[in-house]
Formats: sequence, C-alpha cells, structure tokens
Amino acid sequence: MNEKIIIEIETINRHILDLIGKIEDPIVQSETKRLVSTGGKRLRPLFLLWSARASGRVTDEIYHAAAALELLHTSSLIHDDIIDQSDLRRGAETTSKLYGKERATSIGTVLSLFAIEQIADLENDDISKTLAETLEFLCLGEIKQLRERFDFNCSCKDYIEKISHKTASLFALPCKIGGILSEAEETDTEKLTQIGFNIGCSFQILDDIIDIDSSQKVSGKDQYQDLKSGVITLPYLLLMESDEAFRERINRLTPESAPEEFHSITMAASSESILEDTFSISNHFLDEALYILSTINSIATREEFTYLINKFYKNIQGDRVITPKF
Amino acid sequence: MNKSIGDIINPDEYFNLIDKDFIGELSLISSDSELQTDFKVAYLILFFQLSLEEKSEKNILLGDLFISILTKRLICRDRKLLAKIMLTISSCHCENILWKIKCYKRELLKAMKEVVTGE
Repeated sequence: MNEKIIIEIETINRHILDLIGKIEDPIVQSETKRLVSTGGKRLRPLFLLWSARASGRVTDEIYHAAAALELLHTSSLIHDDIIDQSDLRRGAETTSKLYGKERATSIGTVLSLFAIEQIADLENDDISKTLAETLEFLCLGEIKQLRERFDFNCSCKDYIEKISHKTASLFALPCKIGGILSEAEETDTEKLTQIGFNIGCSFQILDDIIDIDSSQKVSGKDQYQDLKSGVITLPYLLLMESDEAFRERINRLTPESAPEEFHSITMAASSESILEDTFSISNHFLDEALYILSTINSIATREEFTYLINKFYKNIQGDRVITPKF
Repeated sequence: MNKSIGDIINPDEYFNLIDKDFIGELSLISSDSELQTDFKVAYLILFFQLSLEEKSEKNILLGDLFISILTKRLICRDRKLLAKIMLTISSCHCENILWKIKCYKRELLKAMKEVVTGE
C-alpha cells in the first residue's frame, strides 16, 4: 500500500481509538475496540480527509469527524450482521455471535447514538442535515431490502437504486462532510459527493462479486451470504436477463431451498463471462468518478482518490492501469 | 435522495402502537406537541429494539429508522434535547446489555419531566 496512505490510516486509527475511549459503557467500548481491531479499509474516514484536503488543511476537527464516521459505519455492520445472521466478519466472530441478537442490537444502537452525537457536536447545520438525511436514506433502503427478500423480480435499474441507498450514500456522506468542513466551494463539495457516490456503487458491486467468487478465507465473510439471505445482486441479475431458465430457477428459491441449490445457482452466476460483465459495470462507476475527479483542482485530492480507484481497477483486471485524466 | 418516510411506511401506523397509558402520562406533563412527538419517537426506538422476540430484523431496522427520524427532527432544532434523549435511550440499552433489563417507559417519562421542569 502507498506509504502515505499507511501513515494516514495509522493517524485515523489513533483518532478512532481516542474516540472509543470516550464511550462510557465498558461492554460497548471493548466490543467496538475488538471490531475495529479486526481490520477494515477505513475508506470512509479516508474519503473525508481527501475531500477536506481539496480546499484546505486537515484539522483535528476533521480527524474527529472521520473517526466518528468510522464508528457509525461499525455500528451499522453490527446491525447488518444480526439481520443477515452472519457469524463472521473480517474473519472474526460477529457481535451477535458473541453476545446474542438482543444484546448485539443494543451494542449497535449505543454505538450509533454515540457516533451521531459526535457529529452533532460539530455544530454545523449543513453537516447535521446531511447526516440526518443519509441515515434516513440508509434505513429506508435497508427496510426496502428486507421487505423484498426472496422477491427476485428486480431489474438492474432497481438494483442500482438499491445500492445507492444502502452503500453509496454512506460513501457520499464523508466526501460531503469533508467538503463542508474545509469550506470548499459548493460546486466542489457536490463534485466530491458524486465521486464518493460513484466509488460507493463500484465498491458494492465488487463486494457482490467477492460474495460469490471468493472463499470465506479470503473475504472473511460467509460465502454467498447475499443469496442465502434472499438478496439478489448484480451477477445473478445479469444472468437472469440473458437466461430465462435461470430466471425461473432463481424465482423458485425459498429460504427452505436445499443448500446445494443455492450453491449451484451461485456457481452459474459466477461464470467468467458474467463476472466480466459485472466488472464492466463497476468500471463504469469508476470511470465516472475519475472523470469528475479530473475537474477538481487539488492535486493531492486527485492523486489520493485516483490511487484508490486504480486499486479497484487493478483488483478487477489484473495489471490494467488507468491513466488519470489530468 | 428525495424519498420521504411517507413513501415507504406511514409513521402514524407506528405511533398507534404506543401504549395509551404512556400517551396519557405524556399529555399530563406538557401540551407541547413537538416535545411529545420527540419523546414518542424515542419511545418507538426502544419499543422496537427492545422487543426482539418476533420479526427481530424488521424491529432493528424500524428502531434505526426512528433514530434517523429523531436525529432529523432535533439535530438542528435542539441539540441539547437530542443529546438528552439519546442519553436516555443509550442508558436503557446499556441496562439491556448488562442485565437484560428492558424497561424504558419510566426512564423516558423521567427524562421528559426533567426537560419540562428544566432540571
């Protein structure tokens, strides 16, 4: 990894640990510390810092906001794992596995309220409104997903709308907060928000691919968890569009279907051609992010986001190197 | 990003789930409907998230949704009140984490009295 980013992540981690130290409940504090120490890419805090850098210097207040966002993200993972009935996250046991569903719910909520308060304490109305809207957007997306479990009549357009609710909004948020905190021009803040949004869409699509394509050991999660939870993702949808027999087969799936059927359907959706098509759509979002990035003046911000975007491209197509448009 | 809660669920439907006794107690304290609604939303967060026996996934998400609604209602209007209500919600959840105690009506009522009397 880029040395500069490693140093940045170390600084972020120090701020996260400092913030965790302020959580009053000892169980919530120790569990949050455990979860944070299991890894994570710290993408949301990094996005906030890189966005802030577009217009000014990175202050302690900005690091504080970045750490709070990471804790907000961590709290959402605790609840996600209960809902998805996952036992593993980043190769470690989930909070619900360790504490049971009821206590894990409370741990997630206490952490989420703590993180929201940290951001509210910034006393910035624009940030407060953005945070509140994003949280609502996120919850509505999750409720919609829950309501539509095992309802596989979904188009690719519906899918993109869904991931813009549940993932991309939480990538757009740090970019917007970074822009606001550094007092960037409104147009620049909007551009940064769009960059975060597009990378967020790509990130979710890549996560969908990992869910069906890698072993549990690599991803640190249970495999094809999405389908087992009745959630349809892009590779399945692409195959459904071109293969009517597959569509009929997937539409017959129920929570009671045999594990072999889930496995067999997933194998079909993880064929090379389907994965290539899925990668192409992810690339489209990365291209869009790069294009918007090319209109940002700050060299540091362009370099940092471009580095990450290229990592996403490289993950996709081996040695492919994208030339930044600046 | 313009969808409102009304597009997906009707909040009134969930407000109706609040115990009538509790609403009665609230109305004796204050006629300030904004404050009552703030505490009703807090009640719903705890109601959904501390009642996980059935349909727990949905209850977790509804609790989270009402957290977002509470935040939206208060984060610009009254941060002090938001902090007070969030502290009360957190304390109730902490009781659940440590002792599996799920009481929250009395705590919310106490917090609301404190807000009204300025304690």
